[in-house]
Amino acid sequence: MAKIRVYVGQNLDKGIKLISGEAIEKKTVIIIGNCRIQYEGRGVSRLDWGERIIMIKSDGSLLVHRPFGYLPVNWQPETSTIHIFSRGEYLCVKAVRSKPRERVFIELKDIDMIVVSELEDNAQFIEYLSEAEIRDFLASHPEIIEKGLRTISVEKNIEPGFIDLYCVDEKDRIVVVEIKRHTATVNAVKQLSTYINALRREYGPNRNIRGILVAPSITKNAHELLVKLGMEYRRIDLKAIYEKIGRTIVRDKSKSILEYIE
Amino acid sequence: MVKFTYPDAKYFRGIIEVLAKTMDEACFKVTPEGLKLRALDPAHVSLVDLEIPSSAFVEYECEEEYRLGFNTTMLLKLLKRGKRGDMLDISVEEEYMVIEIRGPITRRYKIRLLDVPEVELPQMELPFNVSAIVISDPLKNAIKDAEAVGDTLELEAKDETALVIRGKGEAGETETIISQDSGALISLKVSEPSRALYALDYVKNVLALTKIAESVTVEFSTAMPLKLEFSLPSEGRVIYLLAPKEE
Repeated sequence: MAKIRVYVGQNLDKGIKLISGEAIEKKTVIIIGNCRIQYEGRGVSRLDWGERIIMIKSDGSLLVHRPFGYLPVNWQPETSTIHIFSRGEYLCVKAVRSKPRERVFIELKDIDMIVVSELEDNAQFIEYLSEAEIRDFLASHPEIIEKGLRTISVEKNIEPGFIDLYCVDEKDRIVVVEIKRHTATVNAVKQLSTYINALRREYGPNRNIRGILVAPSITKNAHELLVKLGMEYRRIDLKAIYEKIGRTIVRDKSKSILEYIE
Repeated sequence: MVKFTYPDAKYFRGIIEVLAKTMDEACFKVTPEGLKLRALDPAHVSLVDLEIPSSAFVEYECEEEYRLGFNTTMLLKLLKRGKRGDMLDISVEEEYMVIEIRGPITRRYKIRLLDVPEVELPQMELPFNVSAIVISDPLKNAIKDAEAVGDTLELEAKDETALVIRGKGEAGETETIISQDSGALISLKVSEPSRALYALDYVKNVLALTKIAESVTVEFSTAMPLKLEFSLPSEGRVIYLLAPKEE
């Protein structure tokens, strides 16, 4: 059983005292209460009083969740220092990251609950849809990318590397498709552009070659560069593909080998 | 400085084929003693344990331990370009693995090294009630027959006369009897009659090795893992350990 201490009601002062010291190192702490937040770093933000959930994880990451939305409203992926202290009637949480310099400052009044826990979690996270699986699926269903698209070859080897999908569109133009499993970045755009340039050198300037970047999401910079270079972006819904592939966990009825060797 | 030359690119390809079927990324641990690799498939059903001593290589240069992470499919794709008898050189150049296949012509490939996390896996000393040495080819055919009808491989040894390999599935059943009379069985030791089931999807991952090794050591017990050990032509071995399937 996990080691968990919960502080509510009359116990709260004890909890505040505990987390104000150094005692939270390597622990996961949850604070629920009314707070306001300042952030300075790559930008500046202010969030006025509201009832929120603050989470400090054992590795020092900090998340502040509002009672709605799945993303935290403020966060610090890893902090160099987290300092919790009382100032006047407020309990303050100051999380500083040194590189890049970022600072989240939370002031709390009316704390409802504090949880201090030591949780064990060493499991490996397995993602069941690899880039290769997405590629193979899209190769046999190119219409998901664009109506009328036909796959000519998969993993086509050209001088700078391998093109994920080499296709032809309705108007017989060559279409180079680059697939990313995660958010597409500027690097992905550059990669796609390298392939297209290589093909242009091969086919000459008269041949029309399109480039499509396929990913679940794309960064703003990447999208700007993509548009500037005259290429296109298509969003793919990984969940929908996963369901279409209909792959259940591969293990089937087999047991884990780790049960026998550990 | 890491550099090694394997006498036959085609055999090395067989080893990589097993890795590529089992996992997306893998990592060779190169030590002065030889090449090692121990890894699980993503669902943790099987374990591949590879060891090739430095003496199995034509040339072998390694002064200190080095980890060589790579994409298995990519390496396999390159090795497929090799023919039987081609020599294979693998070395490291900055962040690339350099592969040279030397035959009548020399081809040179570079693939980016990957940072593959090392998973500490305990050494297993599993006791097995059945231990058989079988000629590869009949075993390969038994697995292929089983695959034709079903998704489950059943192994059974009631006594020391024969090893029975069955394929089971909704469509039907097949049975191959490997006995001493047929010449396919080199030896069979049974300390307790045993019968166990394994997922064929995993068993077939090692088919490439049946083409390389002349014989295979097959070990199992009722409701316990299956251990297949393939001896490599020059020296070294690959062990494939597979968790049982429930009835």
